Amino acid sequence: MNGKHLILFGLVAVVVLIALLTILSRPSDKAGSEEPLLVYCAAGIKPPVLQLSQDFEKEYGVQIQLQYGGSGTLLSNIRVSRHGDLYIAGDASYIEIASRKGLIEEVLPLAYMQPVIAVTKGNPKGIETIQDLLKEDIRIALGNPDATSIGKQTKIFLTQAGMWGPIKKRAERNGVFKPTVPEVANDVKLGAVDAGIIWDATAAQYDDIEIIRDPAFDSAHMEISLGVLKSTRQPQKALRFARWLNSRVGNKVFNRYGFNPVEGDTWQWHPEITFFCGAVNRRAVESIVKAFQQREGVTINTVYNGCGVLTGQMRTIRQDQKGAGFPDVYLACDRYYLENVKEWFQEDVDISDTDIVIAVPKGNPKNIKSLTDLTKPGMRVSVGQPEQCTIGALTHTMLKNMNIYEAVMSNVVMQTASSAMLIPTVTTKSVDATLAYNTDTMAESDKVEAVHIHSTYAKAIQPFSISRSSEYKHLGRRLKKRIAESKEAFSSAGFNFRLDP
Amino acid sequence: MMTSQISPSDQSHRRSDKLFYVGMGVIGGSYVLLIVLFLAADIAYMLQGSSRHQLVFDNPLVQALSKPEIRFSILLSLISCSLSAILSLFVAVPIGYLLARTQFFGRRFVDALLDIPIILPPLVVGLSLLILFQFWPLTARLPGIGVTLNELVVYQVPAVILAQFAVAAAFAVRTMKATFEQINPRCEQVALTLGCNRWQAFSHVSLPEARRGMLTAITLAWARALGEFGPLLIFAGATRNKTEVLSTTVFLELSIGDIEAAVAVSLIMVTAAVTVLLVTRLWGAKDVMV
Amino acid sequence: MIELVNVCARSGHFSLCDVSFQVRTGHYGVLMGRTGCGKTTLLETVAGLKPVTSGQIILSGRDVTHFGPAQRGIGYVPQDGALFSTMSVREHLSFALKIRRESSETIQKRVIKLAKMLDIESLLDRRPLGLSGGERQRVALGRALSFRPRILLLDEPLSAVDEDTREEMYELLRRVQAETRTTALHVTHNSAEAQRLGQSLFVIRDGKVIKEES
Repeated sequence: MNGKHLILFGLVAVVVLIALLTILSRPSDKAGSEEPLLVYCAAGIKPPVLQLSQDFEKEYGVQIQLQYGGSGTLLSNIRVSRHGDLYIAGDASYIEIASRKGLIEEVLPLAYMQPVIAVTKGNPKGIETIQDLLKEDIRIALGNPDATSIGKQTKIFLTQAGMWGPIKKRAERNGVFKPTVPEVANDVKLGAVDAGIIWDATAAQYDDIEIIRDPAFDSAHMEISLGVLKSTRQPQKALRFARWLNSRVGNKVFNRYGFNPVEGDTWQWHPEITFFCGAVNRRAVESIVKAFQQREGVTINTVYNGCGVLTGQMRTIRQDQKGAGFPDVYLACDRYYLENVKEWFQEDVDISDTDIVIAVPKGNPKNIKSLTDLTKPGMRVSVGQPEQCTIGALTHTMLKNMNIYEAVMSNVVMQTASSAMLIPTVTTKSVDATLAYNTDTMAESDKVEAVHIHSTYAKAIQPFSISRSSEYKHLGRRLKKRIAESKEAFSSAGFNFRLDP
Repeated sequence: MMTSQISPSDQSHRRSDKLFYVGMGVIGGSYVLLIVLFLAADIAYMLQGSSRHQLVFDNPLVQALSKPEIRFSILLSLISCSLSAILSLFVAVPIGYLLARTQFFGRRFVDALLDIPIILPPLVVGLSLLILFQFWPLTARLPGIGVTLNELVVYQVPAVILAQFAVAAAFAVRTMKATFEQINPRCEQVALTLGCNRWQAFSHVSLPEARRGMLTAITLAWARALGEFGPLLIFAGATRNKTEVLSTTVFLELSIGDIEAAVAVSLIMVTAAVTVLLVTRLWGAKDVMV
Repeated sequence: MIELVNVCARSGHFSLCDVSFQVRTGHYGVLMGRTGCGKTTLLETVAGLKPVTSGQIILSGRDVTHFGPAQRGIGYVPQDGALFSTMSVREHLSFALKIRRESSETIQKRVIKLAKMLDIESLLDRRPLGLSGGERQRVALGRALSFRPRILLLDEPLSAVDEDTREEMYELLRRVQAETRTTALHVTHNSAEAQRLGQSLFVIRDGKVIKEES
């Protein structure tokens, strides 16, 4: 075997291995399966949604069927048919109703709208305010309050302004209630009525309609939201399209059609986000993350480690450069490790907490009942090192605040660099007791038992937060919601869940 | 006529010889014994708490092997370690040769530089890689593909290879330098007089002589790559079914207190490593036999 | 013909300067000197393995001072033989011809001829490990001569050979040199050897090379 052969052999081996690697790492989601997506779309939002669905079909070959109607009408459809993938309503209140009826899984915000008074171009009747609608001979068209979002919101805001009664009577007398908002706009355009109350976005579609904004509607920023139906049989495909609508790509189209879009996520067919997670949380979070990835068709790069290391990594990565290292979401072991990176995160919420307990061998041979028992002469104790791990820092704070720090520390024979190392010191009988997380004792419950500590300091609180620089904040929020719904996963791992509905 | 009696001085010689070997054996054997003992302890710890039936069919080792993530981790480890080891050898051979044979400017400095990945704690290697990828041009969009090298590598599979390679290659270089230093340079010189150019002399004479050394280098690099986890954690993440290899699995299992699973995966690692190393040595020895 | 003109060479802690001598074509030249006085270095410069600081080396009428070893057309037998441990004797003999891309027929014929001439036919499929000193030198010789060089350089080839075999080797060396009609330069510290073999004798004394009348 001479040099030439060796190099050839080596190159072949490298190529083969790389090929194997690519086969191994291929994400397993395919683009189009047979069934098209069924999307219930409020009529007023048709223009941007139609455009986006056509673009999506062209780009990715996914077939989309759009069904239009008034938001309320569509909702009744869904309730009856129990069939379909997505529901886009004109305002969030319908989505809320749908959620309450157990029809919705995920919600994605898309854009904002505001009710305005629409009149024919030139405003021949000189209408300036809602009051003017009650002038003689003015004919108005409104959306049906039971069938349309616009109608419902008109009713709510006019009632607040004390005007609903008269306006309703006027519409009933010589005006009309229409089942969808484009029909209201059409009537105004045609001149069949003198004015109508529609969405600003709808009005933008029509060249020959003028808008008058009335202060009664100033605070009415309705959110167009999309709900993923529980009845969907293709959740991954549905969520992909939902993400498309919610993304920057979608934002542009909504803008073009006169809507005021939310600030969406970046668009990727298969997005990847980075999730920094304190090692102690892993058992609770792992299955949630796995299921989330599967359902959404995304990849979440979870980086588990001690929070000291994680925050150190964050500081190192120049997050203003958006290097693919800075996390999009972060679940810390304790608030302590969120505080010192707080300026990079937002929307934090406390998901769970876990007690710090005294872990002793099963049967509690030394009959330890409280922290003071740890100060007895001859006790061997282990704790976490305060600078290296969260448990260490919390233990330190707790003992200091109970004024037994020095007494306990004189019995400490070992300080570990991570919480994971504490329980083994008990199971291997190197110490009589250790101060560890309750969740760690649960994993070895046949060998250790926990003695509870009565102190407000004996707790680690795990906050979940989203990074300010993340391009996938909506995705991050959905993950947060998923975690918030997973009480079972956390309690069975030994955490106290803090987000009871 | 020869007597078959053993003289007293003969006897004491024989005895002292025996004593010598026994002494060496005891001292050396104590280390071998230590290794055997902690492997045995691991197995015992892992199996405790299982009933007799569980022992064979449902012990933590079998449980671990049945999880698809663990199987992925095993495959990824095997492939990535092999790739890192081959790449390490590719760079180690030229570097080792140059260091052993030539006197270039800054040679001693380069020699010392090559020791750095060995001296540095592996965590620092991983951190340094992460920091490196935050700089331009690694954050520049590649023409035609539209992604940055940063996005292609960090927390992806190439990061696993890179991190393993960064450390394993240093060991391979050390080995190849020593190998080439031991090969008589005269042989290459003779080859030159016989009509070879430098490449031919290297390829036909030096490389075949270096076969044993290369085998050692590649197995050393492979073993090192398998055991590496510090830099992987920081630079490649440990995402299930994506960048998780056996060494990070052990760490992760440990970090949630699942010691039985950590030990089970460690034993899988040991088995995989011993198998691969044995096979390589046997196959190599056949070839290299002189 | 081997001709050195005012050659200066340096190696480590000593240097030779103003070395000029000639070995006539077809002659067996022997260079004698004490151990460590630079004879190996001198041989290496002729072979092209060490550069000269000044002067010229002319082989068969060509100025090869700036040529690499491969272009000088020399057969080189170094001090310890330096055989290739991974190749068989046959492969040693065919190596130079393989590099020159000769046909396998040509190579085979040459190998048989060389093996006959050096009496190593029985060793053709052996590896260097396990050969005796004399056998190794024969193989080294065969390897050096395989591509029919005009010049043959030998660096103390008999230092590792025992007394009994030495006489055989003297015979062999003279015979081979005559048969192949090469110009040989043989370096040694053994004066008996020098007397026995050398048609032209040269001695290194005080850093200079002096021709001695044989």
